[in-house]
Amino acid sequence: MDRPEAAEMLYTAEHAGRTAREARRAFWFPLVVFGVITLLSTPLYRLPPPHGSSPRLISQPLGAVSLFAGGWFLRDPALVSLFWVLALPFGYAATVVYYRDRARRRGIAAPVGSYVAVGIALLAFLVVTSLTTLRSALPGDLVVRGLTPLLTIALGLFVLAWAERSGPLVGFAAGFMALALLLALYNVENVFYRIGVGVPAPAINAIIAGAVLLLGGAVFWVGDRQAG
Amino acid sequence: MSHPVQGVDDVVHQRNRLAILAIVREAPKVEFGFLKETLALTQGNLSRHLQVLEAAGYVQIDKGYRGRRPRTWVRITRDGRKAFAAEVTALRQFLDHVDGGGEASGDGGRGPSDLSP
Repeated sequence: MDRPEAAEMLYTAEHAGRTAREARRAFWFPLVVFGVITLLSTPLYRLPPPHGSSPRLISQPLGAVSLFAGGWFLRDPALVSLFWVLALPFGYAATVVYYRDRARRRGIAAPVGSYVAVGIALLAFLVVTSLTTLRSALPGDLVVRGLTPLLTIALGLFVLAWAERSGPLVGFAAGFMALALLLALYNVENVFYRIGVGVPAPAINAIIAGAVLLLGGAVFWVGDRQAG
Repeated sequence: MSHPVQGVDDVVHQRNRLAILAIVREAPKVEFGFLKETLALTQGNLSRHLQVLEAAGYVQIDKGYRGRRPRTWVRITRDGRKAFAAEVTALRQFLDHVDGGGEASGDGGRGPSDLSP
């Protein structure tokens, strides 16, 4: 073996591996799916009427399960949690179906099992936490706006980035995690009010998060089309 | 210290077979047609390389159908991953050895760095 031969073999292997990664990559899809789901949740993020009754809670045990998302001061926190407990598994199921169909069409599968498993595990963790005394361990500030599902989506994106070995997706996941934390911990509508723009609070949180996911999905889709 | 070339596995130390492993290690499974197209190999040539890799226990081959169309899926095994990583390490060590003056070298750039196991 001489030097050119060794260098060529390494180059060939690297090139083949990169081609495979680009061919299997489709993480724009879960971004779009969860972006749409988040936007669909917008009507549920409403405040109670000014002189109305306290937030409506539905009976136990469904009440406890369906309050996993938090949002104690929303008009109907149970409905918000119920939406997410159905929508998140739907999003992961849609992702699996899409990736499987794509694998059949393109001839290369993608390792999304860990992404889906972590996403479902995070959802289960939140639901179980809401049923037990662990509930008090969650910081109230973090759950009060009913946006914990966004945090699970962000954490899942880190796992997807690892599975897909994508640096750009790591960057997007970090940015979305920062955004999800900001939305969960701070009244972002105050920023809009300061600049004279009236926004529907707290629905603006879901609008911003959904729009960012959709935009990210669109950018990655364009990038994949140009690369492919 | 042994010469880096002594770490080379004859099964994997072949350009097309190394490229096959480089592809199948990136995915849970890869279809025969994808390998054929990506590596620009003939059906017979690819089949022969896959037989060698399967006989060494480096890949697992599953045959099935999608509708009436036969499909062959290739998966890398744990031994295949180890063999690929060992080959890449051996090639890098060889290049380092050559570049360090251990042996007269030909022309060519350094190997790529995106092949971590």
